[in-house]
Amino acid sequence: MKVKFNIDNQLPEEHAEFWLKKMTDKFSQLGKELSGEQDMVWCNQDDEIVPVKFENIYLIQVESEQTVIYDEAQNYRYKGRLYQIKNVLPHDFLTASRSAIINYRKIDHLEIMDGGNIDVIMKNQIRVQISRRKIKDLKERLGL
Amino acid sequence: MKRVTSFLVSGMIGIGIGMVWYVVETMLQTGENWQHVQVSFTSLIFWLIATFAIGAFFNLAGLVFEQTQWSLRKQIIVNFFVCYIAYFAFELVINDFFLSIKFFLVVTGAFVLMYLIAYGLYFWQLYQDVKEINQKLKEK
Repeated sequence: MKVKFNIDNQLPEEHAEFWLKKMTDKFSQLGKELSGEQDMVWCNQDDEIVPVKFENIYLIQVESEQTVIYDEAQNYRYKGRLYQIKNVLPHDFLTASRSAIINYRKIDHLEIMDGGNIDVIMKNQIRVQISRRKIKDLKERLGL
Repeated sequence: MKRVTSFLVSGMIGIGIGMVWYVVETMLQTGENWQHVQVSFTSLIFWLIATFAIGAFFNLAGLVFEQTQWSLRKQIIVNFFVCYIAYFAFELVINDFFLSIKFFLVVTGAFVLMYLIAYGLYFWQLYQDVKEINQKLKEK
């Protein structure tokens, strides 16, 4: 795909236009990122409500019917469901399984376990299983 | 739509593998005169339909791998036996239900070989993908 940036600091308003043969999830997500202003999500930690920036999130997964968000050192409770937060996440995130979403920029490496399952080891040492079907998605994100 | 496409592609792959098998089997049976063999059109149509059905069936049997709560070992075992039963039944039908020890051993052996090739290739590719991903992650 050809990409062209026209830089003009006199522009009254910045805008982006895409010429596509068909709309895909990738461009839909890109559109949301470019037009949206949300770059964080509100979460619970102990008795406080704190903002957690998307760029700091490593992993979001469901544990004991709760949505838990992990950054480098801490974890937070998100009040909504996984599919709800998935809709606002930028393109850095991909679904690892039915109960987990990972930030692919925070992946350290992958390991194939004895049982044939594949674990993603995040940079904060957290392990999360990734579905074999999602390996293809991860390859695409990494440009392979 | 994706599921239908996948189903059709599997059927076509079944035809591909089945036709190669048919050609090799015919050549082995006819020996030196393989160049002059004449094949019945009915037989060819039957093989086309049957191999498509087998390929498509393998696709459906692959739904077992969507049971993510099962371990990979369990998924493979269930998938293996589901496919084996269907394949064995198919072979029994085309052999007029004539069951013998030799028939059982040949059919089982052929199936195990096909299964090993098909899934062996799949998991080898997966292993290569993981290796490639880790290499890319190291570069970052």
